[in-house]
This record gives sequence, C-alpha cells and structure tokens, in this order.
Amino acid sequence: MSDLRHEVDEIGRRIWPDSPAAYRAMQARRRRWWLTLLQPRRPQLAMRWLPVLAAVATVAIFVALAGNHPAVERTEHPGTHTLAPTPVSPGAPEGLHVAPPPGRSIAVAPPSHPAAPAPPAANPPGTGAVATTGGDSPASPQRPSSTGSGVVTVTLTEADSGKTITVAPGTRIVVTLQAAPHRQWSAPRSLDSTVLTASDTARDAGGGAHGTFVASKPGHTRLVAGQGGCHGPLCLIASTTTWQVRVVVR
Amino acid sequence: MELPAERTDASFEAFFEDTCQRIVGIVAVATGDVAAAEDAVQDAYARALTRWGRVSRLDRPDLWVARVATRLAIDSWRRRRRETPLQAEMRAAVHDDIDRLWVRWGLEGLSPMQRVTVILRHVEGRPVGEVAAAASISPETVKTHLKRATRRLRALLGESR
Repeated sequence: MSDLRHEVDEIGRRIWPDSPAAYRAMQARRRRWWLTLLQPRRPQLAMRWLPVLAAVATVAIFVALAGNHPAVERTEHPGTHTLAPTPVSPGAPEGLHVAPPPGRSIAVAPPSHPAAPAPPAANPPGTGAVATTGGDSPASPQRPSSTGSGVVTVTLTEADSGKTITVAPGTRIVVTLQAAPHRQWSAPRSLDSTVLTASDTARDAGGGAHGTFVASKPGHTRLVAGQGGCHGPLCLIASTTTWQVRVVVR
Repeated sequence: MELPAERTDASFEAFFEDTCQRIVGIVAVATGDVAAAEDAVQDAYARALTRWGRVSRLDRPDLWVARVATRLAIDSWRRRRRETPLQAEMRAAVHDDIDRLWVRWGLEGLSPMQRVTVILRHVEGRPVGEVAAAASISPETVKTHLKRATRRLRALLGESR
C-alpha cells in the first residue's frame, strides 16, 4: 500500500508540479467566486423548472403591462398617429365618428357660435369643418355634430386608438368603448385634465366604458383607457393593448 | 483570536504548498477526473482560507481540505454522470496514470467513496474515525465501504492471478 501512496503522491505532483503556481490559480479562482452562482448545482432540475419560470415571468410581465392604466405613454411625432386605423364601428353613437386615413390627423373646428375662444386661422371659424393634416389625400368630408347649444361634439370609439385629433377649445369629446369578449375597459381618462376636462367617465355594466370630456384650453394631451378585470387565458394577448387618442386643442 | 492577515497568508501558503499535491492526487485517483479534482481542491482550499482561523487549529487541516474537496469532486462527478454516460465521460477524462493505477490496484470497479475510504484508511493509514470525519460519513458506513471494497479488490486481484 505504500507503493500506492507513492503513486498517489506522484499523480498529485504531475497534476500540480508547481505548487506556487497552483496557489496563484487557487487565489484567482477564489476571486471569481461569483462564477459559481451561474452554475446550478442541479442542471437537470433547473432545466425542468425553466419552462415554469419562463411562464411565470411572462405572466408577470403581462400583468404588469395590463393594469387599468397604460403602463407607458409612447412618444410620437406631433400631429401624427402611429397605428393603422381600423374600419369605423357600425355601432358608433350619435355625433361624428372621427376616422382619418393612415398617416393623417383630424382638425375639428367649432361652429359659428362657439362656447370657447375662436379656433386658429388654419381652420376658419364658423365652418365647423373637419380638416385633415399630415397627409397627402384630400380632406375628409366628415363633419362633427353640433348640438342645439352649438357645442361641437366628437365621438371616439375603440377603432380610433392611436390616432391624433385636433379640436378647438370648447369642443366636447365623447368616448364610447364597446365591451368585447375577454375585454373589459376601464373608464377613459385624460392625462392632462387642464387641457381636457372630464365631465362624466364611468365603466358600463357589460364591460364597456364611456366618458365625456371638454377641451378647456389650448395644449395637447392623451385620452387613455386600459383593459382591466380580464379573466381567462386570452387576457395574455388581449390585455396588452390599451386605447389612447392624442388630442391637440388649439 | 484571529491571526493577522499577513501571518494568515504566510501560514496558509506554507500549508498549501505542503499538502496540495497529495490532496489533489487523492481526489484525482478517487474520482478519476483530473479537471474535476483540480476544481474541487481549489474550491476546498479557498474555503479553508476563508475559515483559516478555525481550520488552522484542527489537528489535521489537510484532512479537512481533503474532506471538502472529496465532497465537491464527488458531487461534480455525480452531476456529470447524470449528464452523460459514465464510461464515455470517465474514459475521456481519466488521466493515463490514474487509469494505470486503477488497473494495477484494482480500484477501477470501486465507487468514488470506496476509493476515498480505501486510500485514506490503507494508504494514508488513518483510523476509521478520522476517515469517517474526512468523508463526512459515519464510521459504520466507512466500515461498510471498506468491507465491500476489500471484497471487490480480492475478487479482482484473485481473478487476475
């Protein structure tokens, strides 16, 4: 057995012929202790749980993004909308359903007897016309509705998400978001209540939501609504979207 | 009472240079994997340096390092055994010298823990209690390993004669 001991010692000397060098290597390895954190002790166990961890992380991300309020307000170029418009909803309520073509925004001027200061020269007062900007096609013939009191009303639906509208001070904006399967809208709100003042916002019993806003003063803001209270696997897809319309008051 | 840092470094370095070759040899022969043995022994010495104030007061600090290194190496060996077929992995990694030593001394058919107990008991000449402490197992388990290893060695050596 002493021969075996000598052979073991000899193997040790062959593996580490230079003890000081081995000492330096040990010290260097000691300084890289954090590398051991990257090496799971049970790789197969870690791989078995990896899909579960990925699923949990995915759900957590969706939940974080799908609150009642939009998580992130996107930055856009002024006067443009980034989402392609969808066809006008046939169930849109009374008033003008603003649906500009791609790459364009809409300007709404008040009628001849506005309840607020006059609109800019680009949209001549007294016409109440809808003008488009930012596009190369002719202006849309659509017009906003005018109530008996002379207040211009613009109606927005979920199909208008991503668009930009330009309205004059005093314009009333009615937001109507229809309920859909696996989709429950939160009450729409204005990100800047000094520019767009909410007069009536609420969620409907069936999952829809509505809101009425009045353009108070020149400026720009966004009308936003989220999809909360969603249950079921389809929420993973449906809850990632939020409704928002950029509103320019001038 | 902790030693000053300079004295700690000096005494640990001397201890390392005195014992590192034998310990890496033991672990390499026990596991048959030189790379795993080097990693395990380096980690064991790093842990010893972290606790050098306590480890240096032991009767046999080298056995403490051998115990830790053996445990780490066997854990690593078990992980690799699950990941890849044992024989292919071992054959690819075993050093020629270790391979010859295994064949010569009949250690080839033993498990790593049996090799550790055989080397510490019969090569290092340590009593069963110290072998048990070094291998982190009970003395009864050491005796069982030694009994099975001896039976196996006798069978292997008897067949070769």
